[in-house]
Amino acid sequence: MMAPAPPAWADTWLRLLLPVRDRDTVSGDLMEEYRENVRPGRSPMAANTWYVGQVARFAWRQGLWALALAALFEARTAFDWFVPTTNFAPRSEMTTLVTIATLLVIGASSTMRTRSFKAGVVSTATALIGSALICSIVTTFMYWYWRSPELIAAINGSGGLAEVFALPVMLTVPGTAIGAVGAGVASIRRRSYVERP
Amino acid sequence: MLLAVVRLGGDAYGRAILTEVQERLQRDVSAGAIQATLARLEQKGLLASKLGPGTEIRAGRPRRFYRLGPAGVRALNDAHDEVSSLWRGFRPRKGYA
Repeated sequence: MMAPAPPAWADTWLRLLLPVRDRDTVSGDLMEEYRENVRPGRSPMAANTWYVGQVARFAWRQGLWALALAALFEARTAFDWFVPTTNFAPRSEMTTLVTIATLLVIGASSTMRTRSFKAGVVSTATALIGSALICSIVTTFMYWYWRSPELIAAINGSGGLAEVFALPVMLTVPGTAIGAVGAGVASIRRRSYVERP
Repeated sequence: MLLAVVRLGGDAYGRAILTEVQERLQRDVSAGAIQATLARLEQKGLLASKLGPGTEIRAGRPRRFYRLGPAGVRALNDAHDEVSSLWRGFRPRKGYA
């Protein structure tokens, strides 16, 4: 009989988030706990939920980045909704530049910490997906709490409600690509340090 | 954490340390928190580590075994002395418990 295994995607996610030197040892520790202690006493679904929960707790740094990105996106949304304007260009430039800088930092810092390009890319993607989830909750709350004819007019004037929900999700792929650039630069810098005599 | 490594002796690897800490503190501690602390202590030179062989239950993945470095022994002794000095001269009286 085959030994029970945790969800493969969660195992892969964990390994990609960890520093290279800890990938096998830490994922092995979690696998051992899952097979010896957790799985025998729980249903497959409960055991897998435990495993995913443990992996998610390894992603606390990405969670903080997700909060930072969500705060940025929601601040822009709040400005557009409560301080309406007809000239969105200055706001767009500001938020675009800050978002790009943040994504580059996420990719680079994760790569420098873990010594892995892949970890930089996965960390950026994780932070972006997390921020999209947070944004959808916060935006829903803002709309429900402050809904009024003036607010609806301001929302329609700034691109509509669908755009506010869709933008963080649409940003996931290009945002991850920007994070990959940061991760790539960090990888090259790290290699140049290593090769220095 | 350093105490857990000392108590476990030659068996001090990630999962065993996690179990030991959870039992001593009598509360749930995440593997991520233990891992981050071990990495920080190793970076500071308080712990040293080496890889051990993997087993079937770990899908062949190796274990990382930890032991105290000289700085770790000093830090543990210092911590013990500090706690001892705090309690020195204190006599528990009836009714305190």
